[in-house]
Amino acid sequence: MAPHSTRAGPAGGPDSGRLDRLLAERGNHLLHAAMALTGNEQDAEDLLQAAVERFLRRRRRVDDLEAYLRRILYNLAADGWRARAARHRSRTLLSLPNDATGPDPVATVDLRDALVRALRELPPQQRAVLVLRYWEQLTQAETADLLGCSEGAVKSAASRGLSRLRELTAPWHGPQPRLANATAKETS
Amino acid sequence: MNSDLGELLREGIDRQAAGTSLGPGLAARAFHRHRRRLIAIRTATAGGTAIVAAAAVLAATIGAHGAAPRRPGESHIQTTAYVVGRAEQALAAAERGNAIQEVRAQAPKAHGGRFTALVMPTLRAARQPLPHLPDANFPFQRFTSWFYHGRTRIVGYGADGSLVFQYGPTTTTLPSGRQPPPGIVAIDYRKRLVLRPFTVLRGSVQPSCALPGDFIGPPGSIIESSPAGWAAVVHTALSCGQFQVAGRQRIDGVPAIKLVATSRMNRHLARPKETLWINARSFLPVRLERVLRTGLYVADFSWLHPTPANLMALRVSVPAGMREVRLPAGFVIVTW
Repeated sequence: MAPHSTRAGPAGGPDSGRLDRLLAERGNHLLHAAMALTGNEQDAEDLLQAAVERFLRRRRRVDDLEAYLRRILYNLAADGWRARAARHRSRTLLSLPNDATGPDPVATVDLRDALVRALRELPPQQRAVLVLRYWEQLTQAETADLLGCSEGAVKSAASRGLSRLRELTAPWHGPQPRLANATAKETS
Repeated sequence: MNSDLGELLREGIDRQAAGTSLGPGLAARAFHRHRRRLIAIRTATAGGTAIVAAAAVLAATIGAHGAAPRRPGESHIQTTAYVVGRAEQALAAAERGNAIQEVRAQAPKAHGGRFTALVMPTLRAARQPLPHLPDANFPFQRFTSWFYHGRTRIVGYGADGSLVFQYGPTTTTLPSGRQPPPGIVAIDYRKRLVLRPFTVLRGSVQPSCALPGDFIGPPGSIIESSPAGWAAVVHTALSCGQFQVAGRQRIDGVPAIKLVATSRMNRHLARPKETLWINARSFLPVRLERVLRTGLYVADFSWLHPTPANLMALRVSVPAGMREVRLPAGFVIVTW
């Protein structure tokens, strides 16, 4: 006997229509969240697919499908889903600004891009916290609830994550007007 | 500061995500993998172990003679799944920078017997008044291309084997610090012109299951329209379940697993017949063959270690005596 049934699968079953509808309506948002967590579209699709697979394995009925899927997605990411691959990639990408000796004149690479790239350098849990707090704009309590940790852990991860982002994007601090403003605010 | 940085991070993530959308089929793929997992669990609980089952499948897949023998009741999904899974892992590693991808291809005779590369402005650049530029299209009969970390070099040859076209960066270093971005040039050897600089389109087209059945795209996809390189395109095609194991062959002496794409598996369009051979040891593509209405298109793959010497293959050397043509910002090369 199979360990659990396949009733939730998209090929049939009571939840298949719900899952298809959810992915049609909210799939892009979930994909974008996964992109923020993984850094590229290919890994993002893989992460989202892994989350859907995990969803298919569940044994109980779920009322709020999106919340459930999103919880799986972020927890997979926070648990270091494919962490080794992500570290390898981020090391390659982030060797660029780390080698910098001064302001980067490449106009296309501004601080926003640098922050997104630096995000991949962070440990998975810090990355998940920052995406939830600043992209999904959840409160500390909501973030803690979704990740199944304490508010203190969220606060600490967010603080450490932002500090690390500032360090990693230090080469961009000079010529970027928005960053100059941000730096001024920080020191005031 | 934190809120400013958080706001910039949010904008950066939005910018990264702009234009990307979820292709169809993700739920179906997840279900497919879920079902495979259940099959494996059932197999294991039915008396054997999953490991033994996997070993049997592998032995069947890369058996020594011809098509993989299939025992009654053995799941073909598992056979293909194993090979595709290994190929996906190998391609993902190549994409992460473990290997430089080298492709050699010849234009099918009926394709006009040639590829064409055309210099053109991006949509944004085309909105500005454009200066008069020399006619810049480059026909070539065969090419060799290299791809590594988003950088492409392509060398086009004429029917007589002469060098007629080249495109790529003039340096092997990536932009960093005070360094300017790598200069990307195109050389027209017949007119003795060097055109520069070219814009690198980032993330213009990402391969996905939603792309039309022509998964590899026109031959020109090797340049900007496929920024992740063919490794990613083949990776996606495999992940989307577009290939099935059809046996084992030697390609230029290399033991290879043959995978075929059939019209049954590619329901979006009537596709050309495609065959992919992957190295039986490394699981990286060795050859891709497409039977087009206009002829047979064959691309041979090599995978090079990213040593300093091999990285030099990505660099274009501009010969002396060429006339330089400065392009306005926002020009790219497309080929077909």
